[in-house]
Amino acid sequence: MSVVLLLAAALPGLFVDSDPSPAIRDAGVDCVSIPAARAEAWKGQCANIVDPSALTKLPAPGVRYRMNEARASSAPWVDSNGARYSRGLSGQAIIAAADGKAALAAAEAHAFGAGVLITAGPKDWKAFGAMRQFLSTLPAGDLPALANIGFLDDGSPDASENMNLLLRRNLMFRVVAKPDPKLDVNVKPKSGDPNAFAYEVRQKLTDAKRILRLYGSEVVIARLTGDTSRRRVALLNYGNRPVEGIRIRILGAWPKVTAYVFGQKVDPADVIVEDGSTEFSLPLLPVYAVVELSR
Amino acid sequence: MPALAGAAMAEPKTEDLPKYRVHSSYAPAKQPGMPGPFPGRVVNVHSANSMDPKTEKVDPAVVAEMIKQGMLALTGEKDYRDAWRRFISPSDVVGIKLNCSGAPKICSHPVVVAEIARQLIANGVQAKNITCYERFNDQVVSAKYPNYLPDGVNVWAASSGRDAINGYDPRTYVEVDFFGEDDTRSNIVRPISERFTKIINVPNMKDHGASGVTGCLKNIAYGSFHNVARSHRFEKTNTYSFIGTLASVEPLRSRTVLQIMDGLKGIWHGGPFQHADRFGFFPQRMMFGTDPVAIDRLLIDIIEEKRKAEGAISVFNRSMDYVKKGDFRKDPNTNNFVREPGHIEYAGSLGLGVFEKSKITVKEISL
Repeated sequence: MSVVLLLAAALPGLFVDSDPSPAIRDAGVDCVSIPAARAEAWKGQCANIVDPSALTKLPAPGVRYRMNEARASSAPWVDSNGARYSRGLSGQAIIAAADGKAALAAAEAHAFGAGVLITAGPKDWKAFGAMRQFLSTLPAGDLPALANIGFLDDGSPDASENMNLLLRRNLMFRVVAKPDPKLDVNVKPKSGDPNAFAYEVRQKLTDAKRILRLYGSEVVIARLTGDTSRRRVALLNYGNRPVEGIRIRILGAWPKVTAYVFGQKVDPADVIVEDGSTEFSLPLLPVYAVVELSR
Repeated sequence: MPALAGAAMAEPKTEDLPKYRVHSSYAPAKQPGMPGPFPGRVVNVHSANSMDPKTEKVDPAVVAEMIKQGMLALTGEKDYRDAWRRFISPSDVVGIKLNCSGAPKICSHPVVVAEIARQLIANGVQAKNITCYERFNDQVVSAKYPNYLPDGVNVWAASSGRDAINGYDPRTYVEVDFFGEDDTRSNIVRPISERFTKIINVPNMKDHGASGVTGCLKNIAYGSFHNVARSHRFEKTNTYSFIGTLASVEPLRSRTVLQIMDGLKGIWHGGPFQHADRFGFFPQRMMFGTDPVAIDRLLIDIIEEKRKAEGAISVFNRSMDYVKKGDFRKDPNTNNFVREPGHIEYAGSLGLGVFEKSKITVKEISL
C-alpha cells in the first residue's frame, strides 16, 4: 500500500451569477464567488470576484439508471469527478451542479480534497449551505489517500475511462509515473471496455487484497485515507435517494468506528474485526458520510 | 424426465460450477429441518372446493380441512395437535416464509397463511412470536395479509427497497463471484439467524423462467437471502447450483422444519409472475412434507404436464434457439433464460432431500 498526500482543500464555494439574495445568507452561505459583472450589486458584502472562464469546468456528479439501454453492465452509470480529482487539477474548478446535486458536488470535492466552486440554482442553496456547514464540522481530514494499485496514466482518453471505472468499482489506485514496487499491482491503460479493464485489475489484485470493499449499493463511491493510527472513509452516494444500509470492509483492525453522516444521526452497526479486516454497516447513507476508524 | 434431444437436456458440468464460500457460525441441528424426519414423503391433498377458478375465491373451511388432513397424513398422528407438535413447541419463535414475488396475482394465499398461524397459536405459540416474512415490502403489502391473520401475528419484509440490506445478517452469507459483480455477498434474512427457532415454508406451484420451476427450494433459498437476482442476469444462469447452496446454509437448513406448498392456484408460464391471465391454472391442491426436494420433484411433473397440455415447450428445453427469441411474457414457446429445473436434483445431491421419484412416497388425499 502507498500513500499520496493531498493538500487540504478549502471548503467548496458557491458561485452565483445573480444579485444578492437573503436566501443565500439564510442557507448559511456567508461568502460567495461572483463574476466581475456583478461586483457593483454585491458591494459591501462578502463576495470574491472570479472569472469562470479561467476555471476548469467539470461535469455535475450524479447517476443515470439507463433502464432501457443495452450496455455491458447493468449497474447504474455513475457520473463522478473522482478520477479527474485523482489525476490532479490545475487550479480551481467549477461545477454547474444539476438540480438537487449541489450538495453531492460539494461533498465529492471534499472527499477528494479538491478546491471547487459550485454553481447552483436558488432551490439548491439550502442544501449546499447545509453540506458546507456539515463539512466545516468534520474533524481535520488532511490524511494521505491510500491505494495499492498503481495506474500509469498516459493522459489518453482510454486512461481517463480506465481510472473512472477503477474508481467506480472502488479499486483504490493512485497515478504513478512508473511502476511502484511497493504497490500490490501496477497497471497500464488499456483500450476497450473499461468495465472489463477494471475487472481484470480486480482479478489481478484479488478481492482479499482490496483495501476497501462496499456491499449493498452500486451507486456509492468511497475514498480511503489514513495513516498508521487511523483510517477515514468518505462515502459518496451518487443515487437519487438515501441508501438503506451499506456495509464497508477495510483491511486492518480498526475497532473504534465513528460516523459523521450528513443530515442524520446514524451510528455504525455490526462492527466486526476479524481475519485481518474491519467491517461495519451504516444503516442509512444520505448524500455523504465520513467514517473515522482507529485502534 | 420427458424425452428431449440430449444436447438440449445437458445440465451444467459440476466442475464448471461457481465457487461458493459459505460464511456462517451456526452448526447444523442434530436432525436438520431439511429434509427433516420424513425424507421422500409427500402428502398431496386435493379439493375441488378449495378455490373457485372463476372468482379465485377461497373457502377457508376447506383450506383448514386440507391442512388438517395433510398434517395428519404426513406425521401419522391421530391427534391434530400432536401433528403440529412434531414440529413446533409453544416456546418457538416461528417464521412463515411467504411467497410474494408474484403478488398480488399469485402468492402464498392469505387464507392458507392465516390458517397456519391459527394452528400455531392453537398449539401454544404466542401470536407475537409468529412472523410472516418476505424480502420486499411492496410485494408483501400488496397481498394484504393483515386482513386475514390472527391479531398479533407479525408481517415483516427485509427490504423497503430492492437493494436495501438492513434486514439482513452481516455475519451470515454466501460469497460468490458469478460474472464480475462487485457485490459478491448474499446475506441471510436477519430474523432467520437472530430470532426464528423454526420456519415454515409456504411456496406456490409455479413455473420459473430461470430455474424451470419455483417451489419449496427456490422460495426458501432466494426468499431468504439478499442479492440473489444476480444469479440470473444473463441467459445462462447460475440457478442450478445457487438455489441448493443457499438452502443448505445454516441455520436456514436446520430451522426450516415444514413445507406446505400452496397449489390452490399455480402459474404454468412466465413465473414467478403472472404476466397474463391465461398462464394461471388451478391445481386446487396443497402438498405437505419436510423434504423440499421431493415436493419440488413432483412440482416439475405438475408444471411440465400443464405446459404440455397447453402446447408449450418443455421446462427441460435448454436450447438457446428458444431463449429471448420473442416475448417471453406472452409466448409460452419462448424462454427468458436457459431453464435449470436440474437445480432440484442438485439440491438433492447436497442432502436436502430425495430426488429419485421411485424413492418418493406420495399419499394422495381427495376431499
